Amino acid sequence: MTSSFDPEGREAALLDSIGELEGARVLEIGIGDGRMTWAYAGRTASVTGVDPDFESLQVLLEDRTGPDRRVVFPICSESESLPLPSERFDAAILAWSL
Amino acid sequence: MVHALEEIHRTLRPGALLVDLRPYHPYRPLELIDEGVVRELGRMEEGDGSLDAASDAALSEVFQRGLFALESVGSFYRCSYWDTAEELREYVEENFETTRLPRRLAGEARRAIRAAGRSARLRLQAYIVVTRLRKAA
Repeated sequence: MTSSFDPEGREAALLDSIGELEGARVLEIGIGDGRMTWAYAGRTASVTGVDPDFESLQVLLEDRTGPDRRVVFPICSESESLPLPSERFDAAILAWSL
Repeated sequence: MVHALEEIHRTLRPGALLVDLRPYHPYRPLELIDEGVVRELGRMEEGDGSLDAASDAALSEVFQRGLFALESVGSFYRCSYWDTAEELREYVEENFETTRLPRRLAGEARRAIRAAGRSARLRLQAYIVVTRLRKAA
């Protein structure tokens, strides 16, 4: 059994079109298993990914062994109380999480 | 939701970009794709849209308070494909808050897949809205 999500690459193309992610420190809220993250992480300085679901964050790291993994930092937390410093990030992405 | 937006605002530097990607309900009807031919099977069972409305209200509040300025709104359809109705049902149950695959539609999808060619798949399309916002400098 197989399933595929966005094989047409429309979501990836959208993320690709955001020039400001280039070299940016990005905060992704609702990072989950990284479905969106890997489409753009390689262009950034870093991605801090927040999600309350610990299992999804484990999948995020297990699924990826390439160099992009080095720039992604998962944090298990609710988005209403972020354990992060103020004025740290150049951009934020709400990934199906608002 | 407003609290989350306030926290995001706190962690962003002045002038930083916030992108909200979010599916809007309802989904398009579940379809069978068989050798390029598309057949509608029926609609998913969905909530009353109150989740979308609550998210929109939260964004509206942070605009009004001047935390973020609206830059642009766009949209696209994001497709997902499944080989079986069971796969689709499991995914929906695990990942969707207000959407369900009705039993009757699951049965219809099962029969349609069985009767179709080996390459046939189920397709569900979500309408994704992309909102770009800017933290006040």
